[in-house]
Amino acid sequence: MWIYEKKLQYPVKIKNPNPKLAGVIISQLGGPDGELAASTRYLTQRYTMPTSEAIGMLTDIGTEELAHVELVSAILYQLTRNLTPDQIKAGGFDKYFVDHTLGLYPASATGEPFTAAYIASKGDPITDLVEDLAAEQKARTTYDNILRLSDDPDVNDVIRFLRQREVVHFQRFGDVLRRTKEHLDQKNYYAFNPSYRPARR
Amino acid sequence: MRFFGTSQSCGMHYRDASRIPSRDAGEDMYDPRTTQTPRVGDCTQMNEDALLLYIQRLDFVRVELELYLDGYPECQSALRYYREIVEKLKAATSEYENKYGPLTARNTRGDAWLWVKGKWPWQTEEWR
Repeated sequence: MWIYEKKLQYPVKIKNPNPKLAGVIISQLGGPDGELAASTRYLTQRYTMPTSEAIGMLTDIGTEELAHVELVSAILYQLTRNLTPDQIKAGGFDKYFVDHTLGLYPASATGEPFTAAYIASKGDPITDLVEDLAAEQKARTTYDNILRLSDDPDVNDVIRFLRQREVVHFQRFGDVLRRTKEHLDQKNYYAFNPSYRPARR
Repeated sequence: MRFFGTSQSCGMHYRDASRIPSRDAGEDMYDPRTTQTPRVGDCTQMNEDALLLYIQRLDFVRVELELYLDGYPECQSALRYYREIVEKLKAATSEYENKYGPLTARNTRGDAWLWVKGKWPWQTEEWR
């Protein structure tokens, strides 16, 4: 169950439209390491976690990622509002525009539509948590790359906030991984497949 | 206060703060290392934008503390800090909703369905 609050997690106020920059930032909406993938990954993985703390962390970070989907969407919306056909052509936004007009569509910067193939849900807590740690670092790298490509201070302010959250989530998943390992049976030296408990006959 | 780092024990120590980090002073308002308890003398004196930003800051601290407590559920100082933030958040939200309309649908007051009035969070000045 979720409740919507009519506010952004961080203020987004972008003065200048910039379709070219939007065409890059869209990857953090629907790309391989984007916020939609992050949210779907954590909210899907949480069901088979072995401890209540791990389920709580995946639920709460997955929920925050939904707020990040909204933040990235707000950036994209404000960067592309009221564009003229000339601005669309000059910004290289024509290929997106022909299919979606100025509607938001989750895709990568190279145009691939969002796909669940971007995420993993393996049903093994160690496997899934290590995937989550990597996912946070991949998203942090993507935000670093956006900051290398963007010189709009209004956009970069929000991107820096989102980048910082990737760093914090990486630390929090590190805590969960450590606690989950401590929780495992000490005979399970290699920490594999603790969720899989076939019914005994 | 320590939110960062994979320390083995709860490393957070509660400190009250005398001021909010300010954007004018070049501080990052949302940096969990500098964002202390946002304290403003009286949120009833704020205009709409200032009050909403105050709520956004408080809510950011709430989110940060929830994630921290998920990892360190026994940390008493974090729990005290969390309760203080939630109380301030409730008071500021109530103040905002009385004056400027609901932040959640269920808090729509009065005879009109104000939930669908006014601008949505991603809309900018031109909708006013």
